[in-house]
Amino acid sequence: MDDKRDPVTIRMENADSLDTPLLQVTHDEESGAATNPVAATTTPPPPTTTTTANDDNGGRSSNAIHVHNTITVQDQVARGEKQPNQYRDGIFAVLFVLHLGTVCTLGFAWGIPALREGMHQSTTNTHYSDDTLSLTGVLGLCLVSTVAAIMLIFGALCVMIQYADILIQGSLCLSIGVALVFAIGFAVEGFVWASVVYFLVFFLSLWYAYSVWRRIPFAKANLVTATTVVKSNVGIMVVAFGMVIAMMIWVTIWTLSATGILMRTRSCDDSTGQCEEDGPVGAIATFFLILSFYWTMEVIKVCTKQAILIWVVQIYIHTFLSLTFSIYGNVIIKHYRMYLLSQ
Amino acid sequence: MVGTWWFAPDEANALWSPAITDSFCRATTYSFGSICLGSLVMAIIQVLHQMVHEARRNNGRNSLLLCILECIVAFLERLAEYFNRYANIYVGLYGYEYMTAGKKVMELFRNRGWTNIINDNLVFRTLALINFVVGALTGAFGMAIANLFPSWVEVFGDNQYIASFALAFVIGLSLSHVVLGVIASATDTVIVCFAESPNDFQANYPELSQQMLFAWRQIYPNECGF
Repeated sequence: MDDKRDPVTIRMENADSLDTPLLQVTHDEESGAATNPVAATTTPPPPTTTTTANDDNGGRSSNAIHVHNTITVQDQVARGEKQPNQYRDGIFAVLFVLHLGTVCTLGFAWGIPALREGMHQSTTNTHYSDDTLSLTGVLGLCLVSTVAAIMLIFGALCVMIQYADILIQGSLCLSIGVALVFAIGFAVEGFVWASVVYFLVFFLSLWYAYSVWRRIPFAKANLVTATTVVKSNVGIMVVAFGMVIAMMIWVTIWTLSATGILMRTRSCDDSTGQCEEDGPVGAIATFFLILSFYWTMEVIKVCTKQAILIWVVQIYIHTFLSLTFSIYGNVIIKHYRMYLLSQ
Repeated sequence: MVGTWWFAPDEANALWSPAITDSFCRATTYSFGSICLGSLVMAIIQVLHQMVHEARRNNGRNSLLLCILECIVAFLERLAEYFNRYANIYVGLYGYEYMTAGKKVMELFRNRGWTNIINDNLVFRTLALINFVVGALTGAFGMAIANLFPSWVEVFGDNQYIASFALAFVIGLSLSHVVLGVIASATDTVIVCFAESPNDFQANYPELSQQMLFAWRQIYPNECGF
């Protein structure tokens, strides 16, 4: 097969003119199919047949031969088959729901009273000026920025489809440039080792860019296809943003629960700010608290099929903690801080 | 949703298509257990990584040993993340159990000869750049608003421009991250569907399919024969 076939020659007006399949056969371990390319059968172009992911026909054939107007594919790779509607790995779903119920119960049963206690203590010591309450303008800024960001995102999607290859090349060049700037900057400032490290990063980035440069067209095609999918189904963004809200609600409930549990399993010295776990129960509780946090975050992420970076949540946690600290400023927050610092 | 778009375009080409509802319902019912299992594995490794990292930070005496341990756990985490990413796509496409889905999708890549290809992070790098640019532009817009309407941000005092930039930057960055995160996941699913069923892609979206096939043939002429 001609590896560098011209784009024009790959198109066929008639399937009969085809000598070799454009997609080779690859070895099928399960069916023991041949590994050699097989000449395409010259069947007439069928009507556009689409197999839905929802049908229950047992999946697509693993030895399908399709001839279309523009391309012929003979493909013998083992593929997945649509499974009947049935609960899979159900025990883990049950465990998850139970764990979620436990955390919520603890949050409401232990966390809220602990928070109330903290609020009661803080109101006797804290006074606020009216300035801190005049946040209408800031809210306006947030709203306008949100609208601007949404417009910018849709603009970016259009640019991404048009100039995906330039953006990919730009991102590679940028990483090389940043490493070089840091290396030179550290060298000028006299940080020799840091400079050496960044020069190493610079050369590695250069090597990486050189080795992946030829893959850019495929990355571009992949990105364009993915963006087209998302643009064709904008409603998925509602689900994605809904899941972000779910994450925030979860973090709030988890924080409440953590407050309640930590208040009961740790003892803190107010004068020094030092906290100690009360025996192994505290350590075990801490382990399961963190596990619970990550587990739920992962489930929410996977449910939307998106990869929201953990930093979004971390920003939320830090914002939440600093706000809480500035408002309440009491022993509960010391627990929080010590807990976070000691983990 | 990408699977439905790939195989049945009519059901996944609308503002709120049935594919979105169906995908969400399946993810929260039949496949929920598989998602929970994969997420639990990831969570356990992440907690271990976090614990080792903190132990290393707080304990200078055994730092070399802990450093090696952290490297091992980090490697395990990446391995699990890699497996989990593609296993979840197969769970979403076909409704397999988690472990079966992972094995099947790895077998698919192995049969295609793609095992060293799917690690490319060119797309993610680009999305990160776009994410940052959107954040920076939104931040600049926030500064402009602060300049036009100083009374809105007087609560920030002397640092009103920096604070406005920071606030708008975080908003832009977070929103664009959600959107681009969806696209990042879609690229993974597109790769799997492309390995799985190039015929359906060609039949339903000939133009996009040709682009991917030509690009593929230029880069990997000996793998899969695309």
